[in-house]
Amino acid sequence: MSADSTFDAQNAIAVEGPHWAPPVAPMDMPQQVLEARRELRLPIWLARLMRPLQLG
Amino acid sequence: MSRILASGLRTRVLRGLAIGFSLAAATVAASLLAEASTQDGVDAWDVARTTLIFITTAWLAWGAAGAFLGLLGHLRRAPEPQLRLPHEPTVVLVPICNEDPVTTFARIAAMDGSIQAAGLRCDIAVLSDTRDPANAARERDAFARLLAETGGAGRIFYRRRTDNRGRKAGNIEDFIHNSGGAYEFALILDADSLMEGVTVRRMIARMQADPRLGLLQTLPKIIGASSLFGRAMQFSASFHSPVFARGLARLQGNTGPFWGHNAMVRVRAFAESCGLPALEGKPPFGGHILSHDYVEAALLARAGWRVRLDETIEGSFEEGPDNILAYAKRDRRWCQGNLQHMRLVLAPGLAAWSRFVFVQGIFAYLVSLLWGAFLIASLLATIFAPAPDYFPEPYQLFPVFPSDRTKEIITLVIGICGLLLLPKLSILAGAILTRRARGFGGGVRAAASVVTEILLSSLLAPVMLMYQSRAVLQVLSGSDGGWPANQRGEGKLTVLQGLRAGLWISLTGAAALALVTRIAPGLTVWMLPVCLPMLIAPLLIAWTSRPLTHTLFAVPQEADAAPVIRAYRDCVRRWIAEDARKEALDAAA
Repeated sequence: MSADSTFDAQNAIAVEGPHWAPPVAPMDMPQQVLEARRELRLPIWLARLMRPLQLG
Repeated sequence: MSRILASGLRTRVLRGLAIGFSLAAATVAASLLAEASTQDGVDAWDVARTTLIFITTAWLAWGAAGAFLGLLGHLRRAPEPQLRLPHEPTVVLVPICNEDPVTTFARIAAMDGSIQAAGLRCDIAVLSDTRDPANAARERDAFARLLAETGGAGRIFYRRRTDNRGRKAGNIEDFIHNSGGAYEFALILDADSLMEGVTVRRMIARMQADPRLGLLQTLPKIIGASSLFGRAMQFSASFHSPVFARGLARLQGNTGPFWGHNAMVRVRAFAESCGLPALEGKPPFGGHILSHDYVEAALLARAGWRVRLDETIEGSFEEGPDNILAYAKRDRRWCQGNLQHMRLVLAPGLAAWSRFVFVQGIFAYLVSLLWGAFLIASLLATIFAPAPDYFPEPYQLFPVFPSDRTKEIITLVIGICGLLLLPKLSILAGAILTRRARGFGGGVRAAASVVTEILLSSLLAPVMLMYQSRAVLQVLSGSDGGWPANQRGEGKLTVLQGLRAGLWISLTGAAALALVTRIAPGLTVWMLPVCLPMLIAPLLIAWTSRPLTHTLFAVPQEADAAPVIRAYRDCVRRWIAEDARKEALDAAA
């Protein structure tokens, strides 16, 4: 289907053609962790604090 | 490898110098004020204003340090990499939301032509989040016309989301979920962005040359401004911003900024690092992340990707607000977005510099409140200061007059003005010496523009401070301003519109001036530079929105517009004429 067939300059109410959509090529986009869960904040903070000690 | 290490060390040294300079300037300012204000004893207000002058001066000095670092020329520039052909699959993403379809699609037509002329084969995807069905229908018409004109079927795409989850960040995420696998690089633009094909070519070459480069940000120049306010901003963005941006790039190193548009990303890096969750709770601090770009830059750096700003890449443009109200509206959104980052400063695994960038963004808004608090604390310290004691010792024959500390206060004022003015004046001197000023109408005209811009921004500073303080207080009190679409080209405002928007500022200024005159008349003169612009805020709002026909604020992109800008303007003129002809035919029929 050409673009001309979807665009009538006289009565321009274009219909979204199937070829208008971007190519289908799914890609995973995992959600990132930005905030530790409230109940885990203290243990995570303590673990981070202890890390230099654990490394000797 | 050794070059990367040297670059990392240089970035650290420059950061140390900038932080050291800021702390030194703040310490000097605080010492001068403490010396002048504590000769009659120390009270709580003295401690408060000394602390506040320390923080606010550190902030000013930090901005000045960035400019001074930017003034240092490039000692050694790496050679510009050449594009390897065939280049990787690249897409230009244009997220839009209730924009004017004619200008939006005319920009795309101009960029498509420019990209092809540069020997590139890039797809363009218009990602619409437009909610209004009538506007969406106009978008479809404009897109069909774009395809018909450019023959872009199969190369230029349009899709509209019915679910606007995540706003712009969600819009791009949706594209990556569905189509990201087809592309190696994505150039992210705004609806008002314009970019030359040769610029895109240069950016692809940079991405090819550095496989760890996750994001390359350009410094877009403002175009199309017509009002006094808009042209002053346009001049400032062209004249001062490259130097400030160079300083910023040197400080940020590989943990650079992302400003949400006019930047190229490596799709795989972006996909694996930048999926943003909604934050727990309700807006303004919970919900979707509003200023997503800063967070995405931090997440790319967290995943080990390089994020670079290159202010030397020419041919990148955007439009700016043309009056104070449009600017304040945009600033309200940015304020909420930046203050929301308070929740992300301690996000796990971020680079220390990314956290510092969040703090800077938060502070950029809180500083307005701190300046206001400094003025109030100074006023209260003067009111509650004890009366001078001329006879501190019993049976003293001669009075002891308090020593005059005017010198310290004047030194402090000169120092603060220096931090505000010196960067801009140094940039002017640098531009004249390097002949960069030629593009701005020559040395004399550039100097006149710089001085006028300084006067104008000083005049508008109290008005801006009021709008920004109100925005901060609204957000801190839990009011959600949402993220309405930009209203571009709002243009000229009447005095009545100025009065509606600025009367509260005038009343606040009048009340402050009346109060000071009554309770501390000696401070009235000091308060005038703040209170007078507030009193005439409605007039300033209207006056600065008027078109400026004067040759002041000349910028290179006006005298010699880039080909893509000329192509865009031609396209808009042609399409508007076609639409008018069609409407006339319809009316006749």
